Amino acid sequence: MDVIHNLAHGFEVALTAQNFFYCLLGAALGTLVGVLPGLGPLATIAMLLPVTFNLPAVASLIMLSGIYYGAHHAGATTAIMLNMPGEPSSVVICFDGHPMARQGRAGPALCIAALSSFFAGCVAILIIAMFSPPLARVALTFGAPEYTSVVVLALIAASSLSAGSLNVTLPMMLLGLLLGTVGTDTNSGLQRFTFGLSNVADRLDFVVVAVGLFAFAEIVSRLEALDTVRPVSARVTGLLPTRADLKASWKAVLRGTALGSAFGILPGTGPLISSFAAYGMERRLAKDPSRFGEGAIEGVAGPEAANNAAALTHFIPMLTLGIPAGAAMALMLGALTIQGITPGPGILTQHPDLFWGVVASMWIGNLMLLVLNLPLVSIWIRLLAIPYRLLYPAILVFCCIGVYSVANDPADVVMMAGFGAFGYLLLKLGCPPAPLVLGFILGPILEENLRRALLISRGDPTVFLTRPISLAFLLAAAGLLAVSLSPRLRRGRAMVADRLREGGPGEEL
Amino acid sequence: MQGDFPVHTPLLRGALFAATGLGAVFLGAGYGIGAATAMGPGYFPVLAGGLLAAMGAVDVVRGLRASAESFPGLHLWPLVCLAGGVVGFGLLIQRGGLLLSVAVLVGCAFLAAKRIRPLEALLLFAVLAVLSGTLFVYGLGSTPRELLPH
Repeated sequence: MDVIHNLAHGFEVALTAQNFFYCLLGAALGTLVGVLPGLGPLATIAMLLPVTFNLPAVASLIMLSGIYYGAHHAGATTAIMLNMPGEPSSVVICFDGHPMARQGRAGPALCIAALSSFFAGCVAILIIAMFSPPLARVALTFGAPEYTSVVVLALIAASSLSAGSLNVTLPMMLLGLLLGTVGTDTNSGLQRFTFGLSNVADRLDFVVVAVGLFAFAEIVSRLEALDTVRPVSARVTGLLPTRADLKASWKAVLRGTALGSAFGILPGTGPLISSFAAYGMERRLAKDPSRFGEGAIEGVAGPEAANNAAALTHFIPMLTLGIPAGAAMALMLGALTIQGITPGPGILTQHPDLFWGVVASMWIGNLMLLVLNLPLVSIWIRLLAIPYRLLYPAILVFCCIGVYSVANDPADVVMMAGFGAFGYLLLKLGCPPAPLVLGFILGPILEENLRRALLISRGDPTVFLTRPISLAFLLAAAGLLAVSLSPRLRRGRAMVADRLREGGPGEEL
Repeated sequence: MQGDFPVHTPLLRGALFAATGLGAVFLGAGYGIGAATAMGPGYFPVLAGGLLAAMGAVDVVRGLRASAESFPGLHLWPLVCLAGGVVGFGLLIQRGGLLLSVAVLVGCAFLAAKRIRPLEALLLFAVLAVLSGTLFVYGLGSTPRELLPH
């Protein structure tokens, strides 16, 4: 079997001493930074990105994905212990996880969350291994019109399914597209929107934008309410879930995994929608729905499984099409580009070591997370008690060093402060930064493919409608726009946005 | 910042979007729009900027309604302190070395919180200096000499 052969090769790559070390380091760093208050997965990835630039490409992507799922899972820990979702997809974990912690059952909640996350991870990795090669083969037949349409779909999906209303997220996405044009136009060699700044002559560095918008802006808005420290409200006594807990959750884990794996592949839906959908499904299927919200263990198991499954299958569009399905994947894509690797259908044939090595490392990393999270959970919880006034200067120092080290250019650091201030203003105006980052990364891809498509069709825009695959993508995008205008989804989004505002400034994947 | 005339959030947001969009259209047109068959450097910016300006205008109109939510205002003190610290770090890093830059940044960061605890700041600086110095020398290949002003 091809898949088994390829995975075996992947494990050979991932189990070399160096790659294993970076996998472990990534998962540990992701968990460590993820449980610290005020740093969600996106800020964590943005801050730690430059650390990976000096590594070989495989090690760097292995470490980054470790940081990604480590930080991702840490969101569930803070949700259970503090009722504080580090990220939107953990919002639903608060609903039943925190009541469990208040009833003195934090241990079983954490344990079930870790186990369901691990199980979902294993399944998701198999799905990545099985579906990526055929998908890449299909993607190889894509021409410029198909690429243009799939980018449009990813942009629309990211805007319409994020926490915030369309009239905020769409302009943010457009703003990102414009920022993506800053620098030298690849086609004409003309410098656009550079205003004579030499550090953006090539193009605006995405580390500068991401660190400024996510890390810096988040610190400023958290300093508004520095003294409101949330006490750790629960103690972990026994970790092991009871037999009844296991019996109640295993079906929820299976259902959540299936749902999350399917949703993660679609651009834009990802972990947030999956975890909410899984929670809704569990409540609907439960014999006694009134237990939900009072500490029902299925309400932790299902969503957390869906969450992690989607977080991992989220990699598929990024690796096989070169189209990131969310802001976190956009950051990974940027990191790969800096390494000189263009993600896309060719990656499987040109860099099989990279692809299969990373897939295998995900399994190792998920196993590490289990080890890191279960026996060591009391250490992570102690970290939750570090006062924020000691943390933010440290975060700031590492952000500055990170941004500076990208090109050893002080102008980048100064510009990061500018983007930080801009990001803070945007937060206060109710604008989530995630669509902007996605637009920023996808902008150049969109422009180039639009140019090529229109060149081939001799300027005829109907080319996007007459080619079936392209038409399907555009119809899906239109459908998403229509659906996101429906009142039910609007209410849901408003709820997520409110919830995140309570728990601190939010970010999304 | 909230005075007698509360500014509505959608109004401010829409104005920001519309102004940026119009700026992009204006500058982009200068770069040369070209035609659909041969997109000039300005084609894409004008397209994106035009859409942005239009959506911004819609927001402005919504913001003109009396019922629109009002702008919560900015907390300028932490913003100025942190941005100042980061800019200071950027200006000092090449000539002043890492240690001085970190000192300035940590100092500014503590100023942002208003209540200053000198001992705590000093301790945190010491820890961060050691950590970032190690990172600089071992991770980024800088010489120990470069950590000090030169």
